[in-house]
Amino acid sequence: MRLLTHNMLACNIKGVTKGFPLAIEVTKLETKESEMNPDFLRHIYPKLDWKALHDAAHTLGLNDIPEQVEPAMLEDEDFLQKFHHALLEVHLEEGALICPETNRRFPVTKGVPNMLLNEDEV
Amino acid sequence: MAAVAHYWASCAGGLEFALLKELENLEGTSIIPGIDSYGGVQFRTTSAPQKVAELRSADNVYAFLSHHKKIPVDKESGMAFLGSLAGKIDWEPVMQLHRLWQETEEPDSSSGISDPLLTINGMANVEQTHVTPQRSFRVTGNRICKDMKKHGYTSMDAAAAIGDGMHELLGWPADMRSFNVEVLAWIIDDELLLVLALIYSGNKKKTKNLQNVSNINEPCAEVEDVEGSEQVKSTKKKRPAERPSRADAQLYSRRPYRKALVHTSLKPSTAYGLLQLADVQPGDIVLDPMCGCGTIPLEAINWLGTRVMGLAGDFVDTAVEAANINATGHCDVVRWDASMLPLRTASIDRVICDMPFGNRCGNHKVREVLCPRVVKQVVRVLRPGSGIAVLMAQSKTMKEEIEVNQKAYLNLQKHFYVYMEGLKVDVFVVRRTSEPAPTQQIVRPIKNMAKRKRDGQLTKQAALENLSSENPVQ
Repeated sequence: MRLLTHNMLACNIKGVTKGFPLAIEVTKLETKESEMNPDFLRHIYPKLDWKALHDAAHTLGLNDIPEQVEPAMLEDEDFLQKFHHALLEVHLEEGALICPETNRRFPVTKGVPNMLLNEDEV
Repeated sequence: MAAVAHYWASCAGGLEFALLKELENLEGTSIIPGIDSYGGVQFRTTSAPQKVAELRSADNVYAFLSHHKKIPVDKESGMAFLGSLAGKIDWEPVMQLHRLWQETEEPDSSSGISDPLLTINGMANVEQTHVTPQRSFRVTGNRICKDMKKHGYTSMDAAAAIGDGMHELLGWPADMRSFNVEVLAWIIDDELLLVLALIYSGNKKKTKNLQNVSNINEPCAEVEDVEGSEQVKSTKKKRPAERPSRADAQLYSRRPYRKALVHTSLKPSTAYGLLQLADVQPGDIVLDPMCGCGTIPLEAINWLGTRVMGLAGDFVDTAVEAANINATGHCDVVRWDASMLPLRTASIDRVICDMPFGNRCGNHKVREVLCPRVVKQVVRVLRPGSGIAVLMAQSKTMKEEIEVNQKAYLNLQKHFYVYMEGLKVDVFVVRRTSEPAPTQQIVRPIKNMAKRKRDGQLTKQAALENLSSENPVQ
């Protein structure tokens, strides 16, 4: 699971209103390099919840994601590389995602989060 | 100057627009209209085989042989007609094209098709004389009755008659198992399309089928008779392990991400056709909430590269496993219930989904409840004003959901039919209006629903209770 995906995942247990962002429990991380596409990054940036990305990156041990982004930074190669790395190259292979409201644990195995709910949570 | 090659490219009926669009960009190409009963497009091109092999919307490409309408369907004149077909074809350019394709392909010693005759005659013969080199061949017949009762011959009879004609004319030996040339004869009522296969070797990687197919019903096709035809999906017949599967010797089976499959996996060529409708933009997140082995998001990435992010999710563990094996590039896989997507509202740009239809979901009633719920989720997660969804399904309740219940949130841009595997399927292309979605739109589960197991089947107790109560299942 990449942080881009994490930026969209939310807990959907019935009645939960603050199910995003999910807290991350890291057991195993993996870095898989991939080609950076600045155009993609510039288009995806406005769609992200930046605070959630910043906090998640921090949990994963990536501390070079700034809290605020100025538009000019999206032209800076150096920033884009760090942005790309945090968003797309770091994978949570084993661990869990935790609902901030209910503390419900969604396990992550082989990079796949299991978001299935039990019958009583539906 | 490059020779003009004459092709037939097959695709699901209704998706020809995608092929036509790709062919616009294929150099030196002209479309030949006039064949409408079969899914596909006839064209001539001077482009090299490598270029033709890049067609994403083609299920497969063949050398065009001939097309006939109003063929005799009674036994005697029918068989005579079929036997005469070989003599009406100019074989030289066809075999040149066939050879060109075999040369272009990677030599694959494990393809299981022996070729002793070609090596005996060699290539030199062809240049010096106009005698077509010897080849072993087979004819595969496929016969469908739509508006008529029955042909006076079976598809095997038809194949044999055509084969006899070919043998008489060309002298090639027929060999049903070990052949380097295959002619396919597709008969629909009194129409016949005759083509020659250009792709013979299967997918080099062994594709794994992760779902146990024995406990899922056979898809019910409208095809009345496929006797003698080996173009059935590998799920319909058990085949000996050594023989390369016909499903593997298709253009679409060469996609690099197609390693693990599930029962009735969507063809990448069909996925591409659906993607074409979605007007995917750079920076888009392409979601398939019922992804199976992940074909749709992975086709998007294979086509558009790092311009997009794929998000593939499914409910069943075998599907999630297959998608995870296949996932390559910027695509993540999540296990979820599509009727309750764990995604932020208004976070997705494109949803492209091949919803379960036919007997795939196993239970018609579950499907009719599930599909509208998934539509509600799609409405919720799509970005208002710009989000687009392309949904393929066979579901009356879903049609109603889109056209009536979600009218305020979805603009129906296109609705047409696709014909695949003998089924007529709806395709809806919708654009999200600017109207913000109501939060969650969770349908309050009725009492009976809570007693269903995760795959929708009633638990034993609930089934008994259902029998005695008058509660309709909604």
